[in-house]
Amino acid sequence: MIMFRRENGLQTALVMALRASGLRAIEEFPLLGSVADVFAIAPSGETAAYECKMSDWRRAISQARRHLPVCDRVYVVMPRRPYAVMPASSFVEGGVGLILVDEAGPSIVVPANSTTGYLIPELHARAVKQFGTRVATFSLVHS
Amino acid sequence: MRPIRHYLRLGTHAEKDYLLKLRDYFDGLFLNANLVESTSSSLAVFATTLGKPYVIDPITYAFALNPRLLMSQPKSGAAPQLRSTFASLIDRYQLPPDVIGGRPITTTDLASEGVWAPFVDAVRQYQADRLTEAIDGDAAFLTASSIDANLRLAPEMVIAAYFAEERGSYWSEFNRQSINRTLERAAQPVAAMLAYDSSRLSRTEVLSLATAYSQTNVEEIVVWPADLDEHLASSEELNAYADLVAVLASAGKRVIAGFGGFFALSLALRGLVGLSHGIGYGDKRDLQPVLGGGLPPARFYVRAIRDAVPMGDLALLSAKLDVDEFRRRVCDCTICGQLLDAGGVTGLVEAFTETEDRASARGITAVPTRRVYQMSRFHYVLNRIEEVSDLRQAESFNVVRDRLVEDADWVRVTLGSQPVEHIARWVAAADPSRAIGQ
Ligand SMILES: [Zn+2]
Repeated sequence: MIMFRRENGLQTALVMALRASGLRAIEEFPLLGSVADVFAIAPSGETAAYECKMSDWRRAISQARRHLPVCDRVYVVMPRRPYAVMPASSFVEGGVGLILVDEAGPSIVVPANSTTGYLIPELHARAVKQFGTRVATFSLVHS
Repeated sequence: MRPIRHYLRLGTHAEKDYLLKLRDYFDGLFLNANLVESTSSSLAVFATTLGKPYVIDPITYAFALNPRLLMSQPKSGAAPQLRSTFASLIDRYQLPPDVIGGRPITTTDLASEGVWAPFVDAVRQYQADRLTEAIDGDAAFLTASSIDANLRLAPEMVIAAYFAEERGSYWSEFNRQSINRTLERAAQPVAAMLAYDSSRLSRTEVLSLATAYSQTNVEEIVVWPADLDEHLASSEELNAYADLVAVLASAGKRVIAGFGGFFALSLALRGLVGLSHGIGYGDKRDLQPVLGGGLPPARFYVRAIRDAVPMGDLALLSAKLDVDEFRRRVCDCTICGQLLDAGGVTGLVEAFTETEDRASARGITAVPTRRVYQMSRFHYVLNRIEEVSDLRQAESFNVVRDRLVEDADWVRVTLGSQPVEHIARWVAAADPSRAIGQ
């Protein structure tokens, strides 16, 4: 039983769960010339990018890795499917985590390590600043 | 030194600036007849200012495509109309006007000598005269200097009218007659365009084409394996392309890749003597144009894998490099050099990933700035210029191969295997020690 037919369904479910956990999260956040499906900042200031994909976990890992230089943690987000084989080691080696989403919501299956090895602090700071501007613009447009 | 002529294709007028700034670093200009026809005066002035030999691709193959591809789609919902540029080319090429617009042209339409011969002559004449004629017609440009300009405005060579070779040799007889007639009558050197649909012809069929074109009297052959994406193509397709070049070259032909990237360039070790490509994303052209879709995302050409990657991959590759390593491993072109001097590796990545917000139907979206597109295009062409220079001087194929493999190994560590998969296929196909057909 799969409740998510499209990536934006995954995105919305993820954003709701992140916000419920006290993180500030937005969809479609521009990062390094492309777009992170979801970007979030925890109360601690820790940042995370999420790449949502319905299938093709290998491609998801390489796309997610592009966010490593600008945030503290990076996750691939996919629907939970029976019999899907996605070796945890591939995510660990790629430096990204894996979140699976089902009717009960998102759950972390492979925790993301900190991206310290690839982090470029100035670009991280730029992303955080842009996040602030985006959130402000968004609330202005939707108020 | 290995002779390789490096041609740049002008895709749009917006690209003129790149060619003018880089004019000392390439050998010639390729123009498509539709661009020439729509803006001949302006192109004549540009060609004169640039002062480079030029070649006009008559794009006659387009008239054998579905006519819908030659039409504009009015937004009002009115019936599509043949684009005025193509209507004008039909007239200038003396093609039967009643055929075009309703259906693709066929060999039957061109069966009679009374039809095909004037067409072939008009296509040759068009290339020889169109830009000079445009200058003559432009009173404002008729100054003393333009008299010299007129003298220099003849094309470097004319391309015989052509259609893409298909399975079953549908256009082969026409193409052969067109080459022969153009050779008989041209005042300039003549080139044949050997266009074929790479994904649909088998290796044996491509080899037959090579043999057939080897037997023509034309010396210059521009090869265009349409639909071949060098990075995604199978070994079968790449081997066929390499064999085609090798067979033609061994028959004494001067082979130029009409659209190509580094793989085509590496065929210089199998006898290729020229390469033409566009300014951005110009390593290939499909027979059927890709319509619409807007501006492609900005990408960064990573010379280590001879491919353009998303900007995020540039950041990933650069994250652990200092300035010297970046210059050595990634790029040391004028653009990158200036950015590195000003802000180090971080400053460079920041500059290439700059975006601005634009309102779109989906809300606000971030798009790369104009400067990002400009810098990445200059960087791309500067890299290609370096690559041509390297290939001209390469001592042997083994030197080229070893560098490709070593560079790919370095990239694999950070970006994984997928972005470097083409390298193994390339080196196997381009290897001059691989026998034809093996
Ligand atoms: Zn560069």
